[in-house]
Amino acid sequence: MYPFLPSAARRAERLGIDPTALDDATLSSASDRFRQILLKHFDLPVLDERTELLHFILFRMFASALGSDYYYELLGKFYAERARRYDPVEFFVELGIDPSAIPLPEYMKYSHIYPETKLYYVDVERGIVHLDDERARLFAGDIAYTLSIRGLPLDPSKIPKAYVDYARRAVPVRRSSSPKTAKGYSFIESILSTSGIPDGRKRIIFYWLAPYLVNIKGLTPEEAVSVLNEWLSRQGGGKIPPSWVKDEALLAKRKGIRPWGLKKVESTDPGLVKMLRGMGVLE
Amino acid sequence: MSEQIARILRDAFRRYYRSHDVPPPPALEQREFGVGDYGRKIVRRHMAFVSRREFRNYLREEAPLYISYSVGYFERPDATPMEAKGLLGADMIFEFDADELGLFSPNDVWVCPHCGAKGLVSELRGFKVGICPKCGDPAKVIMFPDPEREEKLKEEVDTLVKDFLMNDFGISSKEISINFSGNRGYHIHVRSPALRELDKEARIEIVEYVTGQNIDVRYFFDVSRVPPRGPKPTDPAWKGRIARNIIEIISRVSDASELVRMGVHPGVARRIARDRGQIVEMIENGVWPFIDTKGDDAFASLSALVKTLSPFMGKEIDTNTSVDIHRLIRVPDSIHGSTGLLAKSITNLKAFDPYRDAVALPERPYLSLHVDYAPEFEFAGETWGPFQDINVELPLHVSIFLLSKGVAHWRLTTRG
Repeated sequence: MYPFLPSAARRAERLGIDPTALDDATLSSASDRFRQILLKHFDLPVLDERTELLHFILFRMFASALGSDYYYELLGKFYAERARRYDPVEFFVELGIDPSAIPLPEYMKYSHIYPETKLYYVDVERGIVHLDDERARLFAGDIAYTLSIRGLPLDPSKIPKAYVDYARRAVPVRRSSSPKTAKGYSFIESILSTSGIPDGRKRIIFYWLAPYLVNIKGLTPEEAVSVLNEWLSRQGGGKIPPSWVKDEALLAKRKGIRPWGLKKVESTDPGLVKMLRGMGVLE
Repeated sequence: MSEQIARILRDAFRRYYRSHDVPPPPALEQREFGVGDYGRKIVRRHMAFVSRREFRNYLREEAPLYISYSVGYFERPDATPMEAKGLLGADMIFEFDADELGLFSPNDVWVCPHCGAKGLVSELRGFKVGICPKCGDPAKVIMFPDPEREEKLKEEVDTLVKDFLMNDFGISSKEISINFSGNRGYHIHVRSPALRELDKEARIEIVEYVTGQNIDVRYFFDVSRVPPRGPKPTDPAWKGRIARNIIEIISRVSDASELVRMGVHPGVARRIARDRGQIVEMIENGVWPFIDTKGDDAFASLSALVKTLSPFMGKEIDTNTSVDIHRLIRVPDSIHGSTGLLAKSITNLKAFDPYRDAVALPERPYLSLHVDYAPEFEFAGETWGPFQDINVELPLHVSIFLLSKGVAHWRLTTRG
C-alpha cells in the first residue's frame, strides 16, 4: 500500500474520500497514529486501503499545520521505511521504472536519504543506473520519501482550522530525563554546605553549583553570585576572579543550563568525584 | 588612468566585435545577460536579447569589457527579482581553474602583499607555494603561461568529458562544449536536456560523483566472504575506476615505503609489496586479499589510496559554478576584459594553446609600461621578458595581459 504514489490520488477520488469533513473519532485516531510517527514508531501495521489513503492526506495536513521541516522529514522517513520493507515490485511498476536500468535523470529526480544510494555507490554506465535488489529496495525508500513530502507545507487555507488542534495534540511532549525539581540534587546541597574543598572549585561551580542555584532553585544571577562567593570564601586554594563567577551564573541563566548528573561528571571527570567521595561529601 | 585603459580596451574590443561574429548562446531569448566594465565583471544584469541580430549589434555598439549569460533558461529573462523570471531549467557547467587545482609552475611569480617580497616559484626551494618565504604571510601567486600546466589542465578536462560525462552519464559529445575561460582555466558546458531540469540537490550529487567527495570505500566490498570480494577493473563507474587505479599503483610503486607515504598501513604495504603480482591477479578477478575484515586499517589504507589515485579526488572543480543555477558565465568567444583573451570555444582540445589561439587584441597601440617583475614567457607566438623594474613599450595584447596580472603599471603614453 503506497498512498503517496500518483495513482493513489485517483483511487482516493474513486473511493469518495473527502478529508475536509471528518468526524472526531476518525480525526482522533489519525492524530494518534501521527503521534506514533512523530515518536519514530515506523513499524505501524498497514490498515485498509481507504484508511491508509485518508491518513496519508491527513498526515500531510497535520505536518503542514505544525510547519516544521523536522516533522516533514519524519513523515517522509515513515513512508520510506515502509516502502523499503515491503516488496517494491508493485511500487516500481506503478511508477513505470525498471529498477535494474533507470535513466540517470530519472534517478536524480529523487533525493537520496539512504547513503547507499549515492550515485557513486551504484553502477552508472552510459546514462543508465543499474541497481541490485538490495539497492532497489533502498531506492524505493528514497522515492517514497521524496513523493510523500513533495509540496509540503500545504496551503494553510486548505487545512480546516479544527484540524490544527488535532495536529498539535499529536506532538509528543518531550520530557527531560533530568528531574525538574530540587529532588535528586541533594548531593549538590551537601556540596554547598561543605567547607574546605581544596581543589576543583571552578569545575564544581561549572558542573553543579551555578546551574543548580539559577535554574533549579530559581535564584537570580546576582543572588547566585553572592551564594557562590560565600561558598568560595569557605574553601581553600587561591582567589577565583569574581568576574568568572558572575559569568558562570549569567551563562547558566541565559542558556538555561541544568546541573550535570553525577554519573556524567563521574565519566568525564572521575578525579573530582573521587576527591569529593574521599572527603565524604558524596556517597 | 583606469578610465583611459578602459577606453583603449573598448576601442580594441569594438574593432574586434565589428570584424568577428560572436555566436550567441543556444536558446538566446531564454537567457539573462550581464555586462561589466573595467575592474568590475558585472555592472548590469537582468538584460535579455530577443534576436541574434540584437545581440550582435549590442556587442558592436557597446563593446562591453565583459559579457556573461545565464546558465539558466527563463520564461522572462529580463524580469526582476530572480523569482519572477520563471526558471525553466539550467545547463550544467564544470569549471577548472589552474590555481584551484594547485597546478603551479616554476615560472609563476609569487608576491607577498605584506612585506613586498617577490620571486619565482622555482626559487622557493622547499617553501610551500602560497606562503611568503620571508615573512610567512600568505603570498599571491601570479600565473604565467606554461605549456606543461596547460597539458595537465587539458588532461583533467579530457578525463571529465570522456570518462565521466560521456561514459558514465551517457551524455553525447554534441551536448558538451568546452571553452577556455579567458583567464586561467576551462569551462565545460553540458547542454543536455537530461540534466537541464535537475535541481540543486541533484547537481550537488553529480559534482560529488565527479569529485569523489566523501566516498566511503566500504560500500564497494563484501567482507562477509573470505577472502573479501570487491570491485573488478571491468566493473562500470567508480567500482571499476577504483580497481583500475589501485592495480596501477600497486604495479607502479617501487617499494612498501612509497605506499606508506600514500597513507597505507605499514603491515598492509609490506604485504602488497611482497605479493604484488599475485594480488594484482586476484583484484582482476574481484578478490581483495589484503583487506583485514577484523579491523578498519585496511579500509583506511584503501581510502588513502583512492584519495591519492583518483584523477579528481582531492582536486577541486568549482562546486559553486556547477550547482548554481542562477550563475552568469562568460559568453563563449567573447573577450575577457581582464586578460584580453578570448573565452574561446574549442573544437580540438589537444591542439589548443590559449596563449596563441585565444589572443584577440591587436598589437596596436603600443602601451608604455613599467613592469615590476615578469619571467620569460610565450605569448601570441613570441617570447617576452624577463622584466624587472623596467620601463618598456609593449603591444596592446601583451600589455593588457601584464596589467591584468598586476605586475605592470601604465605610464600614460601610447604609440599608435
